[in-house]
Amino acid sequence: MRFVLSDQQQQFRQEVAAFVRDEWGTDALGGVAGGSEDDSLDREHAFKRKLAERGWLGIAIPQEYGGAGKTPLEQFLFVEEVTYWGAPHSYIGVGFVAPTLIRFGDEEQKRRFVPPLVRGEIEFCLGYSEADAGSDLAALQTRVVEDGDELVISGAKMYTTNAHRVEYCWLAGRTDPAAPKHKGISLVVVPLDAPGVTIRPLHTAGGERTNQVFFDDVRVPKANLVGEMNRGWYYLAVALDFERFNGFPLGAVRRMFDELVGYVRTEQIDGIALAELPWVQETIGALSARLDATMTLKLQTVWMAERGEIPSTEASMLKVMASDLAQEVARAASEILGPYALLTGDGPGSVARGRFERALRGTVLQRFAGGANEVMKNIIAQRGLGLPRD
Amino acid sequence: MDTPTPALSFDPSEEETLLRASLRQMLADKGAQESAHRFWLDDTDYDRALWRELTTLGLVGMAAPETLGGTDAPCSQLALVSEELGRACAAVPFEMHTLALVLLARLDAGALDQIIAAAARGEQVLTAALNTPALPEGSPARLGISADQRLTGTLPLVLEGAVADVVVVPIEPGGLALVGGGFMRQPVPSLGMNRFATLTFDATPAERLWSDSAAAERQALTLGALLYAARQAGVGDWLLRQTTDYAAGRVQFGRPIGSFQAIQHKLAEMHIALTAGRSLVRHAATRLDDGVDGRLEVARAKAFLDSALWQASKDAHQIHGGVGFMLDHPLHLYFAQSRGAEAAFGGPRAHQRAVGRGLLTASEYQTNRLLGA
Repeated sequence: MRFVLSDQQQQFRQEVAAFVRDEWGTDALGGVAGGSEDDSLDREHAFKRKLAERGWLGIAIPQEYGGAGKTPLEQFLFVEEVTYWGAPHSYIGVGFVAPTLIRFGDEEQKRRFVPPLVRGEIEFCLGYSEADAGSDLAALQTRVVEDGDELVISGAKMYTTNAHRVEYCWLAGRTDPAAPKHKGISLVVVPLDAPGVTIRPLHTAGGERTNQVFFDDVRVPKANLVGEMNRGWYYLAVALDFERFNGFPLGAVRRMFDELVGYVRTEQIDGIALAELPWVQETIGALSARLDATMTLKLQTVWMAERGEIPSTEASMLKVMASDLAQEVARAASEILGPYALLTGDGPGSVARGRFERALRGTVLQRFAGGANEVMKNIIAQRGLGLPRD
Repeated sequence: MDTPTPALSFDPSEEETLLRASLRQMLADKGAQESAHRFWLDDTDYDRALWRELTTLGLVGMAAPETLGGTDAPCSQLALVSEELGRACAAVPFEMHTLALVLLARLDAGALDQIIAAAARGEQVLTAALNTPALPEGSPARLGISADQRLTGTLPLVLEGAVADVVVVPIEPGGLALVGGGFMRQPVPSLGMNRFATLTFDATPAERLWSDSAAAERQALTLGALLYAARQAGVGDWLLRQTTDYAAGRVQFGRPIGSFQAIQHKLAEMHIALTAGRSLVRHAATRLDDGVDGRLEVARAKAFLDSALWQASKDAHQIHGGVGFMLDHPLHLYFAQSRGAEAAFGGPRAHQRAVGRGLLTASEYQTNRLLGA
């Protein structure tokens, strides 16, 4: 396995870092220790527009849809940089929705949604989970009924993160209740400012806000149906592969690791230099090995994408490792720093501005969000190793 | 105009693909795994017939310079061979022989041409007694040397000490010596096919001496860890495939046990860990070939794979149950091989500590790294 960046690629990373420093700042906690509640929407929009002006928001989106038409490797470098510094980008819209639309949407939809996504003018949230449909997503019940040229949507979605801040919901709904559950699902783009949409906030123990979204006879044009009616599950499966491939950048966890190492290198607790303790060295070393191991899985998915493949099993493997790793870094901080890792916020005596305390809470989510790791392991065993279904 | 080397690739070179295929075929044809049963708990000899086959393929001397019968093989190829040997459970001293060849070529190629060439032809087995500490805190045992260059002391648990003809030994207060005989060899049977022996020296004449060998020793320790990590990767791949096949076929409660989630999760975890570990060791080998120090990359690979293989070898036995615990089933040989590979050149704790110490106590720490260093 070979991974050596060219000078030009190194320069690109530095360019992005400099841009983020100037236009966003590098103090943001972001990622595993940050939360969308902290950042004002206006500031985020302004930053994304500036990214778009540089051609960076849709780096790997084809030029015919307004993207820069560059490679998955360049997209990887960009996203790693931005997430390391805690700055926003379009991880749902450009990362999962656009590639799925490009594969399965019609030309009109691609032109309607992809260029504005790439320009930073619109964003999506994911309308997948429901109160009774989490890991068993195919059990979803939100109804989508044809009525002339319109589709009428009724039901409620759960954990629709960012619904309150974006223009559209990428919604999976049931169009044929009589069919077997996987064969009666369709994907629809729903504008969230349509009459009948109600958004209720839900606050998490990780410091983030998510939402419940109610659809009361919400009408959308039939032109918002993605692909064929009742084939939505198959498109969703691809979108989920993109989510696992693009939705778990390692920038935030690399940042957390660097912050931990930086702290341990220089600090003492109880008058003892942390960096000289063998058990601390082992803990950091073990994490470093896991971090690099996880990065090789990430790089493997990037390499597959470079070859035009959609990583499926490999993306699931990455998701498991990345989510476990994030929690383990937070855990290591609490093992090494003891009570100091628990100090909240930015106050006097707080360590790394409360980053580790927030990470202890925030990383709990990652092992079940975006596909519970246990379900990922089923996929890996069945699709990757060929074992029979349970 | 040359096509620029891609920044990212998981593709092996054509040479590597051919090497892997021909070696794998030979190891299967010559029954390497079946032979390995002979060395269960009595690993004081090696598979000499297989060593001859490896010599015919040019692999026993591959690390030697081309002028002396080798191919100046890069670390990527050496690691590839170790990986295949692990997959086939080959009871041969490839890693230490290769490490010693590289070490001798680095130290003093000109004066050692005959020894290197003989070793490359498979006529002599080499080893280096650099792996003697059992604790991460320890240092390798070193022999005392008299004014007339005679060596005295004991080197415990020398890897391949039971079968090596020529040994490179560390001396006090620093430096290395070459010895071809005149010492006592006490083989120490063990689990793991390491062919340990305790070597005792009593005014043994040193055939050659090098005082300024610190850098070469460090590189040898790094190469040793790399090759045994690569062996672990091969062992792991066999464990995963074998166990997956078993789980797919073994029927209990009216269905293959591989359809139960508990089994699927263990195998998925094994697949994740071994896929990542294999990439880590291959990446480390590439970096060594690039001329980079590579110590931390190798340490990460060894630490990660040793831990992954402990879990994999436990889970492989757990899933196989009684069938895999019978002596006539090869599974226990892989469990053993993995323990042996872990014990060589430091296990997980030692390497975790080395990485941690490297990151925490270096004068500078480079942030925002993507992979390595």
